[in-house]
Order: sequence, then structure tokens, then C-alpha cells
Amino acid sequence: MDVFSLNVLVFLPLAAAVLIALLPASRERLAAVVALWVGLVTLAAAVYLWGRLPGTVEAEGADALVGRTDLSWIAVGERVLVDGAAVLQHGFELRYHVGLDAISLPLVVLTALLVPLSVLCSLTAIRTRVREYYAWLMLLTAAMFGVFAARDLLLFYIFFEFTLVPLYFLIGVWGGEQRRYAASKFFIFTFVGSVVTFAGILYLAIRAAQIANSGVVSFDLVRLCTIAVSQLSLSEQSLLFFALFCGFAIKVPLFPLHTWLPLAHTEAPTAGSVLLAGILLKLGTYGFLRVALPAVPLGALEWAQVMAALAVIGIIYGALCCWVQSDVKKLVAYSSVSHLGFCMLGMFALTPLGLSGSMLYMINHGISTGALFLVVGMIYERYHTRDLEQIGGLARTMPVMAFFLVLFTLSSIGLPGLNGFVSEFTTLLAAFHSTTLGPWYGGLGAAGILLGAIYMLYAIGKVLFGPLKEPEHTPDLSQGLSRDLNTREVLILTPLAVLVVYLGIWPRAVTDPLDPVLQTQILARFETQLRPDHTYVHAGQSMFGEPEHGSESRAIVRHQSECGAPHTTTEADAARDDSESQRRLLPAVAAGSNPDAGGGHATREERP
Amino acid sequence: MTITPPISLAAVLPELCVLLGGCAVLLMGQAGSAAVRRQSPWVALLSLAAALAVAMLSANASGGWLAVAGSVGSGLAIGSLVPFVRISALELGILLTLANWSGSRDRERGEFLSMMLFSLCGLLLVAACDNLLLLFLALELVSIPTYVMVVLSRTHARALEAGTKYFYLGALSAAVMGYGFSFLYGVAETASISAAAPVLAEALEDPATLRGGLAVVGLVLAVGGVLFKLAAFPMHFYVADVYQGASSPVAGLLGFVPKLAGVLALFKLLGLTYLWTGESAAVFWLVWIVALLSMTVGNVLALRQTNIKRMLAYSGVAHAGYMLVGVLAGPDAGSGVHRDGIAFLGDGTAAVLYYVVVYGIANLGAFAVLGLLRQRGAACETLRDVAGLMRREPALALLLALAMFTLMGLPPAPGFWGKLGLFGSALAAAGDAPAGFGYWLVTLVVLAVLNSALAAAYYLRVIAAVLVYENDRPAASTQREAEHIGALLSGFMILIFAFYPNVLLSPSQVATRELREAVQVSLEHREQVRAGPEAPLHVETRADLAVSPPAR
Repeated sequence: MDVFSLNVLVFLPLAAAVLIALLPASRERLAAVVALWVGLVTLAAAVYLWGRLPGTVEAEGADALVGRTDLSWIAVGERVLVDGAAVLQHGFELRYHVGLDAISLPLVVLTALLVPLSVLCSLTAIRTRVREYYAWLMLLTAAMFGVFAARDLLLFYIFFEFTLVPLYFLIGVWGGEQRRYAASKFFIFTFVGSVVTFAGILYLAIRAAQIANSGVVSFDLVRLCTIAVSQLSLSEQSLLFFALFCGFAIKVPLFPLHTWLPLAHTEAPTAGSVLLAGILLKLGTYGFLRVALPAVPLGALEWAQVMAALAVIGIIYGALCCWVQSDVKKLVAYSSVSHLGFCMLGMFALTPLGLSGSMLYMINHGISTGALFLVVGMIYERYHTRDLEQIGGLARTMPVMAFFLVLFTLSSIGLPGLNGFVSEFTTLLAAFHSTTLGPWYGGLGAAGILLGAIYMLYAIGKVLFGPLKEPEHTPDLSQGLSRDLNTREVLILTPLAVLVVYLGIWPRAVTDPLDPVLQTQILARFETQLRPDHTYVHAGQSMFGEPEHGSESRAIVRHQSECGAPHTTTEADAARDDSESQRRLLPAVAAGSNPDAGGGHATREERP
Repeated sequence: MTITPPISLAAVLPELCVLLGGCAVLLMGQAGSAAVRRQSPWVALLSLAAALAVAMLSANASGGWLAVAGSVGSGLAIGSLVPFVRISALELGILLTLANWSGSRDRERGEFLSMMLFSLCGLLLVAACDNLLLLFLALELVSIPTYVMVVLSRTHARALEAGTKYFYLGALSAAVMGYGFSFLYGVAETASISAAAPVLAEALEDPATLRGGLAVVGLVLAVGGVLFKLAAFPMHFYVADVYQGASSPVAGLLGFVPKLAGVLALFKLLGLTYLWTGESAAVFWLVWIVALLSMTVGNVLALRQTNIKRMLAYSGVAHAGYMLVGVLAGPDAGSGVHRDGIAFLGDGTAAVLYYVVVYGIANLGAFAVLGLLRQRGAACETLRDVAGLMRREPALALLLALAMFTLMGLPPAPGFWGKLGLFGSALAAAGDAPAGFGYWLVTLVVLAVLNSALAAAYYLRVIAAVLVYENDRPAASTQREAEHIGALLSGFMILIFAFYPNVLLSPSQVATRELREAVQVSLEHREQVRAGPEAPLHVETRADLAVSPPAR
């Protein structure tokens, strides 16, 4: 049943895409219905798989995969009979190996949630080439599920790349004024980055085969992560990290590679923006988490400060850009640059807190930014403009919309009690405490919260409050819309609003299953990397050891002390108890007086 | 005195089928009655199908008179490459026949189709050549009919111009190549390729001596001539004009038949050196530079085109560059990856063979679609002509987009598997390449992937024009069923190779066995020579290694 559900996620949308494309023109209206049903079925499957996670973990340990399927797809080479079965002895193999763990499952559920919502929001917005539209949307869905489910690196890459095609068409055909330019820019940017990633993946797989002295070049993630890690030199890992960075950082997007994003977001149809912000940007961060950190931990350590610096620049630069936007959609788009900066900052703190905070950030950003795009799309459908100068005071005529917009805005700027706060806070806290980064990163990043509150509230104030301002001949209610949100639209926004509150109160729904997996799959590798070569200091010593004490061992102490009791520092606790956090913050600032003594430098110097 | 025939006819039966078919078609084309003339494409198709059937039977025969292997006399040797080339070339030949079904004027159709068959016959012979003279003749048998085809394919004055240009430059390159072969013959004192290999390889290692110097001159000239067939830098200047001048399906043929012939000839020529045993620095740099310049120049020029035919022509130059990356990796690239087996990612030449076929199909598919389309009565050539095609011809539009995605190398299109093999084998070869080469191989791979990203820009333009743009008066297709079938078949093959590439990957792997064996032979030979000049020199040739035909 697990296996079936998981494969439904990938293959049902694929089949639906073909079916929709083949519908006769007279049955065009069926396209949306099929797409919606497929979306609901995949949602049910995803929720079912989520429910199966605890049981599977209990039965098989932290690395267990829900719905694991492992089939040979492409195998070239010489086969040898072992115990009656033909086993590939020399050659190259690509396996259809899928399965979900606590890292990928929340993202799968998020995808499954956003897809039916984006189908619903397209019902009135899409009026031309309807069948094509839903066919591409379904293909995109299949590819997104595929990326998160893939456990074979090449399979991951194939799905990762394939998301480009449907989204290219979604933006290029159904987008705004500059849609073709935006779509091409999006495609070329991401393609350039990911071909370099492709070279890196190939090199990694071939080196792993060489190291294992095995004739089979396979791309199995677990195998690559365990074999390659132990013997790749620092320079190799650094270069490999850079190769992976090229593809993933463009997708995230990390400053200064973000320039495709505001354009693509602004020009895309609402559903495209929602999926782009909600899911596709996460492919980048997920790629870092799933591939780059476990496979080349030394490279990641080496680059951690650069990554964090780019993230901080992105946070502030993105926020400043938001401040001056007059187009609401562009504003939300730039806010993604800023928000994803938090996500990367938390991740490259390389602590348990940072990683799970970053993971939580992915989910929360998907929910609140996706919701913001949905609301902006609803406004646009009525007023055909997103210009802050042309609309205003909409709270008078659209109170329901105003409620949702304010809720999602507050979630996005991190109001305590709503989901955004927890993840924003934990990522910043992790950056403060991290020995690879330090308080400067956390401190500067925190400025982003302030700026975020300014630009968001400023824009929302203009749209919702003050004297009513509407462009002439609007609102356009020709497509059966009502002046305020209608039932369908409320139905779209309600699940997201519920999640915003739920994850604000109980983020442990996501993070509790996450922590052990992050520990075994990612953090453990950092420890095994460091231990043999460096002074190993036992846990229990002061968490914020003297700066002159070799920053490397400090990093280990941090890992040890935090890993030893992962639940004492979960974000839920931190969120609920501000004063506790204050106590934790203060010594961090004190110890961070020498922020240059980062772990990365020490690693480099001490390695033989 | 008994007279033995110079060659066993069973060994060249597929070639004979094609040749006879070509002669029959040529005669039918001259018939007075239009009804007879109209049958000529059917005869061409029949002869190709017969040849394909024979080739498949002989490839799978384990005994009997069809199972021929090894040297068959007259400078031909049936090695492992031959079945692969026969089957893939004949299958593509069928697609080409379909695509060119009614391409030329009625009176000239017989000549046109017979030229195509002769060219294919030459391609089949190139794979079997074990003699420099025969190799030269076979390569010219590939090329000369194509000059005629370019002229016959269209009534436009441009076709005449293109054909003339192609002919003169082709003749020049043939002269260069022949001149190079004569040097190689002079140094090796034999025209047999397998016998010349050890002598030439040793001579090339010592360029300061007269023999060495002559061998280097000979090799560079010969490779230069072959680069013309491959359309690689610096012999690429003709492509754009010729592709533009020829009709679209003929341009599709030019992207496959001469390219495969060139690749095979290059395998044979580079097998004469120590390149694949990782020694010959001069040859390494020659191929490295040509590969890099081909892909860069090809892509940059293609980026500037608005005419799709010219763009595809220049992109063919870039693809020749990617192929050379695999050639550089060699048939035994992955000995660092595996000790005693062969992997797809360890065999650059197998990847090249796969890539040539996939490129040929995608290229043909794109040109077949262009050939079918008419915009205001004229042939479709530019981006503007195909804009908005999706609305009127969804099948052809999707096919064109599929071909572009394949050429772009976007996963899981078959072009992606090809690039995986080419670049992967180069990376695998980097692992055990001699000091210094490894880094340059990795550098070349990085430059190659960046180049393929560059290429995405212009392929995307075609995709955007076809699927994204709207046009009130989009191009319409002509009612030609055979051409439609040809185009759809190529799209079908692309889809098969996308999701089940094994069907082509595994045969290409088997095909390069003879190249790997040749590398082993030259490795052993080199060790013997290095061990001491006094040691008795036993040269194992490929003919010795090959299985002799079973006695009847």
C-alpha cells in the first residue's frame, strides 16, 4: 500500500497529463476537473504516507523509507549470475529508486496540498489553451513529486531538470506582458546552473566507483554519500560543492543569482507563482540538504561562511528591494529572495537547530508565500492591476480577503504564534550559536526581520486601508466572481490559514520526526569527517569555549552537546520560552567577539 | 590452379543488397512510364529492408554461411563495429527514404534515391575497412553521392550553389586526406590498417626522426580530411550554406551519414596511435583543441542564426565537438573505474556511436518536420515561419520540440544519455590518464557542459516559436503520407531511446569490442618494445585475434 501510494504520486499526474492532452476540444472543461481530482487523490496519498512515517521509523530505524521502491531502469554492462540472479558486475546503472523519509515527506505533503489549490485558483484565471495548461501543470506535479521521492542521484537530477520544461510553458504561454522573456530567462539561468551540477554528479559517481574499486557506476544516494565522503580530498570536495552549488543556488535563488526570480514570479500565472515559490524554490534548498551536505561535508564546511554571507546579503538586499516595489506581486517575489536567505543561513549554521529550522522554513515559506501569491492573484483577477498606486482601501469592500491577507502577511513577517516566527527565529538562533558562522551573521540576518516588517506592513497598509481606490471599470466580475472572495476562493485559502496557525503552535509536527534523520544523514557525517583528523574534545565542556582553543574542536563540542540532547533545543521550546532564548543568546554574543575564528579556516589548516 | 574469389560474397551481402537496389532505382528513374518511376521509392525501401534483414540475421547467426567474422579479403574485415553500423545505418536509411519519398522532381527521383543508397552503401563499407586505400574509397563513396543529392534536392538556384560549394570543398578535403594516407602508407610500408598500427604508433612517438615527422604530417592531414566529414572545426565552413541550400530532408541525411562515416574513420585513424593507451600527447592535444573549438565555434555561430536550417547546421558542428570528447576518452577509458570489465561510462567510443545515432535521428526528425511545412507556399526555414505551429499542427510541433529537447540534452531525452556517456567516460578516463592529462580532460568536460548550456539558448528559441508564440497564419503541412510517417517514426524512436536507452546503449557497447581489443594489442606491443629492442617482436594483428569463419 505504501509503495502503491508513493508511485501514485509520480505516475498518476503523468497519466493525467497524457489524458488531458488527448481530450477532445469539446470536452475542454473536463481538463480542470481531471486535474483537480488527481490533485485530491495525490493529497490523500501524501497524507496517508505521512501517517505511515512514525510506524515505519519505529520498525526500521531513522533511515527508513516510506514506500520504498527499487527497480532497475537503465543498466548497461556485463551481467554475472549470482545465486541464479543476474547481477550487474561491470557497467553503469540507473535505478528507479524512490522512497520518502522525514526530510522529504513534509515537502511532499506541501506539494500535494498546493497542487489542488493551484488548480482551483486557475479555474477562472485560465481561459486560453486550457487543455495544454492543465497537462503541463500535471507534468510539473509529477516531476516535483519525483524530485522529492528520488533516492538515486541521477533520477533526482532527471526530475530536477524536467521541472524546467512544464514551468517554462506555464510562464511563457499563460504569463503576463513580458512572459516570453521571463520564461526564457528562467529556463536559461536554471539550465546553465544545473549542467554544471550534472558534471559534478557524474564526477562524484565515478570517483565513488573508483574508491570502492567497483565496476558498477551507480548513483545511489546512500552509497555516494558513504563511499565518497571518506576518501575525497578537501580540494575535490570543495570543487564538487561548487559544482552542486551552481545548480542549487540558482534554484534557491541565492544572491547574486536571483535575478531571474522576480521576473519569473511576476510574469507567471498565479498557479505558476504559487508552485514556483511554494515548491520549486525548495528544490534548491532541498538539493543542498539532500545532496550537497551529506555527499561533500568538507566542501560544505569550507564554503559555509561564503554561503552564509551570500544568504545574509540576500536577506537584506531582497528586503530593501521589496521596500521600493510598487507591484505587489514583485514585492512578494523579492520577499522570497529575502526569506530563502534565512533558510540558507540556518542550513549553513550546520547545527541540528539550524538544519531543522531551515527545513521548517521551507515548509512555512511554501505555505505563507504561496498563500500571498494566491491572494494577490485574486485581487489581480478583479482589478487587473497589482500597482500599489492604483488600488487601496480594499478592506472596506473585501473584508474576508483582508482577513486572509493580513494573516498571511503576519505569518510571513514572523509574528510570534504564527508559523513564520518559529522558523525565522530558529534559523537566526542557529546562526548566532554556530561556530562556523557566529553572531555577526545572526545579527545582520536579524535586520531582515525588521526590514520585512517594514515593507510588508507598508504595502499591506496601502492595499487594505485608507480611502478606497479602484481603477476605472473595476472590479471585473465577468467571470462569475463576487466583489469579495467567493466560496471557492475561501476554500482555497482556508487550509493554508489553518496550517499557518497550526504550525505556529505546534511546529514539532514537522520537526520531531525530522531531528533523528538529520542527525544520522547529515550531522553524523560532519562528525565522522572531523573526528579522525582533529582534536576531539569530549562533550560537557563549556559550549562556548575560548576562541583560541582551535575553533574546529569547538564545532565538535557544539555538535556533541546539541546532538546529545536534541530535544532540549527544539524550536518549539525556543519559541514558547523567550526568556530562555534570551539567556542562550547572550553568551553567544559574548563568545562571538572573535567571529573570524570560523570552523572552515581551521579545517583547511589542520588537514594533512 | 584454383581461383579463389577475392572476397566472400556472404560477408558483404547487406552492402550488395543496397548496391543492387541503388542500381535498380537508377534504371527505374529513367523509365518512360511515370507509373514505373513512381515505384522507385518502394524499390529503395525494399532493398534497405532486405539489407537490414540480412544484417540482423548475420549479426545474430552463431553458425552457418552468414556468420562471417574476421578478415574476408580485399582489405575488408568484419569486426564488431560492422553489425552495429549496418543495423543503425540501415534503420536510419529507411527513415531517410521515407523523409525523402517525394523530395525531388519526378524525373530525377531515381537518380536522387540511388545516390542515397550508394552513400549508405559507402557508410556500411567504412565500418568494414581494414585498408587505407579502401577506407579512402569508401569515404568518397559516402561523400560524392551527397554532392549530387544536394543539387537534385531543390529547384532553387541556392541548391546549385550549395552543391557546387560542397563539391569543391569536399574534393579539397578528399585530396588532403588522400595525401595524408599516402604519407601513412609510406611510413608503414603497408596499407593494411591493423598491420600498420604498431609501426605507425611507434613512429609517431618519435617525431624528431624523418619517419616520425612524416607520420605526424600524414596523420594530421588524414584527420583533417576526416574532420570535413564530421563537420568539425576547422573544416566546418561549408555546413551552413550547404544545409540551407539543400532541401530539409537531405540536410537531415547530411547530419547522419557523413558524420557516422567520419566517426568510424576517426576511430580507425586514431587506433593507429597511442592516444587510447594514454601516451600520445601530440594527438591528445590535437583532438582536445579541435573538440573545444568545434563546440564553442559551433554554438556561438548557431546562437546568431534566425534560419533554423543554418542554426541546426552550426549546432551540428558543436555536436561534432561533443563527440570528440568521447573519442578523446577512448574505448578503454574506465580502467580506473573497473579493472576487467567495460562500462558505459568507461567507453567513450561506445558513447560516441550512441550519440551519433541519436543525434542523427533527432536532426532528421527536425529536418523532416521542416520539410513537411509550407508557409505561404514556400518551404519553412526561419523561426518566424514556424511560429505558432502548435495551433495548426500539434503533432509536428511537439515532434519538433522533442527533437530540440533531444539535441539540447535535457533529461530524460536520449541526447541526455548520450552526453552522460560522453562526459562520463571522459571523467572516468581522467582518473587514470597520465599526469596532466586528467586535469585537462576534466576541464574539457566542464567547458563542454557549459557549451551545452549555451546551446540550450538557441534550441529554446525554436521551442518557444513553435509552442509558445501565437500566430494568426501558422505554417501548414503538405499532404505527404510517407514523409509524415518518416517524421513520426523518428519521434517514436526518440521516445523509445528516452525511456529505454538500453536497446541502443548495449549494442554500442558490443560494437566497440574490436577497438578495446586493439587497445590491448597496442598496450602489449608497447610494453614489448619498451622492454628491449632485442626482444622478438611479435605483432598480433586484429586479423589474428578475430575468429576465422567457420568451415563449411
